[in-house]
Amino acid sequence: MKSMHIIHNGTVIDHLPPGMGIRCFELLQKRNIGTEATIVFMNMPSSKCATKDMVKIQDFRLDEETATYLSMLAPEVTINIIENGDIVKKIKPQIPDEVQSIVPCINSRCITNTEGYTSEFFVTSKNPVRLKCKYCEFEFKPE
Amino acid sequence: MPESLKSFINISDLTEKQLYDLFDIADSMQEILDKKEPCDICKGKILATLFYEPSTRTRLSFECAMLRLGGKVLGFSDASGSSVSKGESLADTIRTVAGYSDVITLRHPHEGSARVATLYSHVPIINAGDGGHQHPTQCLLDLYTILKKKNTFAGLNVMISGDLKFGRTTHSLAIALGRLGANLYFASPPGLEMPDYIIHQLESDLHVQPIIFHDLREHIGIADVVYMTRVQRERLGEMEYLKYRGSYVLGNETLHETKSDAIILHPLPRVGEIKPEVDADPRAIYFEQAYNGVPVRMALIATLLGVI
Repeated sequence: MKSMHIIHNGTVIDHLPPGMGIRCFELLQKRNIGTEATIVFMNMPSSKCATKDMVKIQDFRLDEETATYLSMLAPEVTINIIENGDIVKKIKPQIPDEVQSIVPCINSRCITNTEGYTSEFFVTSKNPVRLKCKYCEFEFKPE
Repeated sequence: MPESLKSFINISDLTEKQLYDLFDIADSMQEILDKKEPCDICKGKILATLFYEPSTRTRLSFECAMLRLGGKVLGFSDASGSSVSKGESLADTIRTVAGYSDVITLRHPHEGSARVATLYSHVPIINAGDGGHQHPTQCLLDLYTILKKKNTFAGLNVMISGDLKFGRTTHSLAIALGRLGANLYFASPPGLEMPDYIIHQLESDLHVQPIIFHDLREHIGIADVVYMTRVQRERLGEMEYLKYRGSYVLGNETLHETKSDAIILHPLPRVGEIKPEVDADPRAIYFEQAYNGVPVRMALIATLLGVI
């Protein structure tokens, strides 16, 4: 029997900071994944840092927008797309200078939280990431 | 004024040169006002005033400015009498009114609303206050008043006091004065301090280190400009408002501690922050400040319409 943590087709989200695995899983549940088989690894040994979390999702391909969002929460994240047991794509998302509609503005008084306007942000810091709303100028750390 | 200024949303939209050019135009507008003769600079142009929140000085001075320029005005001062009460979006209102007018002034309770309005308008938008965010035309007239009295901003000790959290005029003013080289002193009750994003902008982008404190009297003795503001009742719960009401009151007793050549400003309306006894003091120039809204807004309207 194959080891259950090896996926044949799917996505591996690697180099998440310890504790971010569960957070990442919850986020994907909200944005993307449904009933796909998912494994969250926590506190794995890592060559880059002491420990890391990792998420593996069977039969699922992560979209670019979510990859960008994940990079804002975990700047060191790497994403591997697996097909027929091989890594066919390795994504190291780059944090852009500006982002659109990736998260809502956390300022409840911001106009973008009414009437369906698109939220837009300047990225004022990349590690740790800080976003500044283009409209109300409220600055915050995405969570 | 370069043609690139299509709308006026944030005081940071103006370069320092644009700011001083605008003040020069305001001086020439004052000359027109002094002559008391008809003016047709904006003849055939229409200003729309869309005020989703109450206003006295801002709306009337905009309307006065356009009428003095020979233009006409239309709009609403109470959104409940417009299609907004039927649920019309800001975008749709702006698209519609842009077809009826040549320039739009907008006051709206949501922060960032004026910037959103520019996305749906082919005519210039002027931010007349967007929630607790910015009030850049008030800032223009505040700066104009300070410059007329002090001839410079560099090195001035400016104390901004009151509700700095929700007082949008203070946000615009702090950024502008920081850029222009003034020393900033922020006095507010605990809980109503200047928002982090303003402090961050001052410190990181402008390399200005404001002095932040809670006792109004602590630095009033060195202030060249004392800028008082009211507690923003409309943005606080009633209990919170009652907690802060009357936190800072400027009366003759405190005024004695200020410099003899200091100036006392207030964007008005005042709700007890400055006692009426102060009005007679020559340092109290808040009604002159309110008057300056007319030539400054005349200058802005004429500039945005490209008629000057």
